[in-house]
Amino acid sequence: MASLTHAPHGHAEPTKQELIEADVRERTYVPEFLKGLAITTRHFLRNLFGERDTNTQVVDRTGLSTVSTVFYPEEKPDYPEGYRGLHRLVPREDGKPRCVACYMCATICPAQCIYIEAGEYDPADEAAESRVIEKFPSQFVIDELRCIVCGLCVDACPKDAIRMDTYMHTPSEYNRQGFVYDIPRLLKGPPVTHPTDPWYKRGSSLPPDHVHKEAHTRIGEGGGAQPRLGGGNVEIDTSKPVAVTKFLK
Amino acid sequence: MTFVLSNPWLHGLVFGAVLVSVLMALVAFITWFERKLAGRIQSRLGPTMVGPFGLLQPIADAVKAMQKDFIVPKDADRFLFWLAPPLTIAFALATAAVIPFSKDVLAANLDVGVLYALAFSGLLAFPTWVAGWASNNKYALLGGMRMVAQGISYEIPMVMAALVPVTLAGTLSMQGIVEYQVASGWIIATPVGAAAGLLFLTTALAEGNRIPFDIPEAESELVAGPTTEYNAIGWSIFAASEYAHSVITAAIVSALFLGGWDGWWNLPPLLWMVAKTGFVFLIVTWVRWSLLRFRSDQLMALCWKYLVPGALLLVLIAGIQVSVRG
Repeated sequence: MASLTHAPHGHAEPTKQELIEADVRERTYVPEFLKGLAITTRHFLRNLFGERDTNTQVVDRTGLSTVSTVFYPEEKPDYPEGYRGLHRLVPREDGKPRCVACYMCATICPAQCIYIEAGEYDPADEAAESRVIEKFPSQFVIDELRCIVCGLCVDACPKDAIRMDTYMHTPSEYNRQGFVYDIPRLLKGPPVTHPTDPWYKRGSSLPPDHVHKEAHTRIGEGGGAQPRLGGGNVEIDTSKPVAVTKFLK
Repeated sequence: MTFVLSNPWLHGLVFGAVLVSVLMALVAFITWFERKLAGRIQSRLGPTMVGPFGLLQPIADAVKAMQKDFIVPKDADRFLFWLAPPLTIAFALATAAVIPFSKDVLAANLDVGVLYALAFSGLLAFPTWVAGWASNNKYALLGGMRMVAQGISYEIPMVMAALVPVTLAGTLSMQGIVEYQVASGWIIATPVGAAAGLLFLTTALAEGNRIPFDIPEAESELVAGPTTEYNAIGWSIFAASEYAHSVITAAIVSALFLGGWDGWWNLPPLLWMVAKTGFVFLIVTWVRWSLLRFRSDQLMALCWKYLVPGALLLVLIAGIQVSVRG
């Protein structure tokens, strides 16, 4: 029986893989056919009588049932660590955004989905930050339909003010306007503080070691002291209209 | 009532209407059954949401298909494009007329029942080709050509395998073949009959365009073959006629080889017929979700090199058996 895989005039030794061809038993189809039917029958019976394991995190199912269905809206798998999800504007301890309206994220964004309008602190104001920070975002808008979820804005941000650690994907909306997220919808999640934050240069009430430790704690780490976002339990205030008109043509 | 039963035209009309209604309703729920079976085989669940155990899923599917717009491609042959789905379902259902469900219950007791059934089964390649041609789409055209090639090739071993029960029973009537089996044992019980039954089932899979012989549809290379351009109710009719054809083929296999409505324990003959049909259909479905698709040349090789000579041999053996029996 000449091998079908031989080159017609080839002088090179055929590799071991090329020599594998169907033997007589395989060429009659019948035993292999029955083997296939036996495999599907085994699966069928196991899945028919077994109970579906509802733990979405199991990859290798070892129980009787191998059904790996996840009823998605009712059952949600946990996203892996480092999942790039919906953006959030990181708040400070006092609830204001860490953002200083430097336009780094808007500049690097390849999809041009970030729109920022900078506001300026009144120098005459004696509030703590006005002496160390010049600007704040009076408008910060992300069009989540344009966003390609590349994460460059997070890398570009010099103030750790924008993160994608919400472990949510963009929820569905009834119109395109709904995907335009403004500050009230973006500003959420646990506050983040760094020891180098300028508002601490004039004396902080927080001890530096605590601050330093907190700065490297991500959502979902640190013994579950902070509730993890995602899983649909985040209330987003959509009652306020988006004032910016750039994305609404 | 007696007039309706005695007049063959009226009888055929009434019985045919009932049979077609029951078959179409059955086909809808057979899709549910198949999806559940396939789900369990592939470690999924199948439909679960519509009704208890997803039982109402076929109704939801049908309503959805009927609501959708039936789009005819701009360059398609409009008339033939419209004609192909009704033609397919008509040919698929026409075969059901000669299936005997009991001693008296059948739509038309034709003297040439087997011939009639095989002729309509073979004709199914024709509307598929019409659909492929009318779509004016190269994938549809290639799918239609494959269907014709496959249908014509597998017609030959199929007819010859059906010749074995015909030769043994000495009649072309389906009812006659079943009555022969009632009198002298099921045809599947004889070695030549068992081989012929297996061969017939294999070729019927190819005729019905089912895996492992669904080369005309070949999603990976031909999108969906002849049905590529069809959507909405047009596509649903193709799908329904494929299932109807499978069920009817299962019924024909039961009648020709498994003794038809013959059975034990004084159970109603209709029940036996339905049970056997269900069993054969289960095998067909099981095979579908277990096997891969043959390549086109493997398909032809299998038909012309193995099945046709094998079927010829079986016909010869059956003929010798009958002559020896006298």
